[in-house]
Amino acid sequence: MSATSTKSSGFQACPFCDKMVELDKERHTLYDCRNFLLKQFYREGSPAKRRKLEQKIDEVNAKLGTRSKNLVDT
Amino acid sequence: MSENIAFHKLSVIVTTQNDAHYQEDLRHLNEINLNVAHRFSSGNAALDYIRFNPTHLIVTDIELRDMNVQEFIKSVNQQHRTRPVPVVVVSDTSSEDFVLDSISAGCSGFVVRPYTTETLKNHLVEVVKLDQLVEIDESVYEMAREKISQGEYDGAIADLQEIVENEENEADVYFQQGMQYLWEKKYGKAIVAFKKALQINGLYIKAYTGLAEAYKGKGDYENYKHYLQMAADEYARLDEFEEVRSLFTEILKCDPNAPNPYNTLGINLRKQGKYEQAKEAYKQALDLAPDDENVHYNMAKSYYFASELDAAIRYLTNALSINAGFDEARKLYEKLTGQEWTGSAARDEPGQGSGR
Repeated sequence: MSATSTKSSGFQACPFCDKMVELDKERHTLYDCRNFLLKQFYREGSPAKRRKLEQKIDEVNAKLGTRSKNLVDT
Repeated sequence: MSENIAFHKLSVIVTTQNDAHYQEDLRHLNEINLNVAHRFSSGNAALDYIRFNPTHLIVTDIELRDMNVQEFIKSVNQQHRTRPVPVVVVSDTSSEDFVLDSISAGCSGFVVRPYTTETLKNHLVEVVKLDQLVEIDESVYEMAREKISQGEYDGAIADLQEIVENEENEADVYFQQGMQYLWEKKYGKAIVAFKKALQINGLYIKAYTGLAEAYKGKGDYENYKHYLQMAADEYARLDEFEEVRSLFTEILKCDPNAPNPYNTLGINLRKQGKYEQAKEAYKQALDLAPDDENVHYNMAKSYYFASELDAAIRYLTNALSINAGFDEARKLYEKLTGQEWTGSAARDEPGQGSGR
């Protein structure tokens, strides 16, 4: 996955979760990244897409030392 | 059971702009001896009617000329806040979102077309029984009002105290049950629980207002102010119930796979500055996931924003005891205690003063 940089408008896609982040204005820690993936996971109806999202969530969770699938209030 | 309900004594209106639906509904209602007082195509006309005419039940189609059915239900409930007129929705659609929207608006029953007379009757029996649930307390309230008007303040106070004397707010208990049923997709039970919550809440408002009046009559202005405030608090709770039910419904619709919708609800409420409601939501979230450090952290954040720092630290301790590598929790813990997390603090178990 490659980061899409559109620095002229101050936005950059997170290389891990693909969220368009407004640089300098928006906080995007690993917890925000995890929340973004979890929200997609909650809404996704396709089992295949859910599995992919789950894999990514598991990767972030491993870095954070958690197994939870609940959002963190960031 | 239905034999005990005198349907013919009830004043019923039907709202629909669809003539065929009206004919069908009228036939079924007549078969169970319900006399339809009026039919309205317009929701606003129906609202005007029930404002001035005693109405026991509204049977509404989803097709109204001037508003959608959920707006209509909300308007009925707004108009009759402390004793809403039950609204039964008769719908062509049973899509989950539509049912959830109708429950969120505050319907008393939901029937899907085509239906049999027996099905409608069963629903109406439940609705009428539900509406009669608080009648005993209502009659106590009426007696108390009579006593106030006659200057028998002590007698009125004793009667009204009886209504509000429960240690736990019963309305809260039923409301939480309603949320649980909603999540479990037990929609009929959710409707009943929410209705009970609102009915009891409405009765509390009346009882506290009555107590305020009685104490005013006795010249006890301290208690007069106290009970006026209690009535105001219950009014606020009525609004909160509606807001939280609506938010929770949206979460269930938007995030159908969320493992713990109470956690999502808590975050939403905290971000809206509704810390008390957020804490209630997290309590339920922790019932589902007592060992989830994220939920403990979220609860801590609600306490932190509510300036209850001791409780915030307790929940942060819980979160860090479960996951010592939880950076966000560690930072907040250090900020609140001025100390680094060493891992020596014991986890606060439920029932040991954590407020859970």
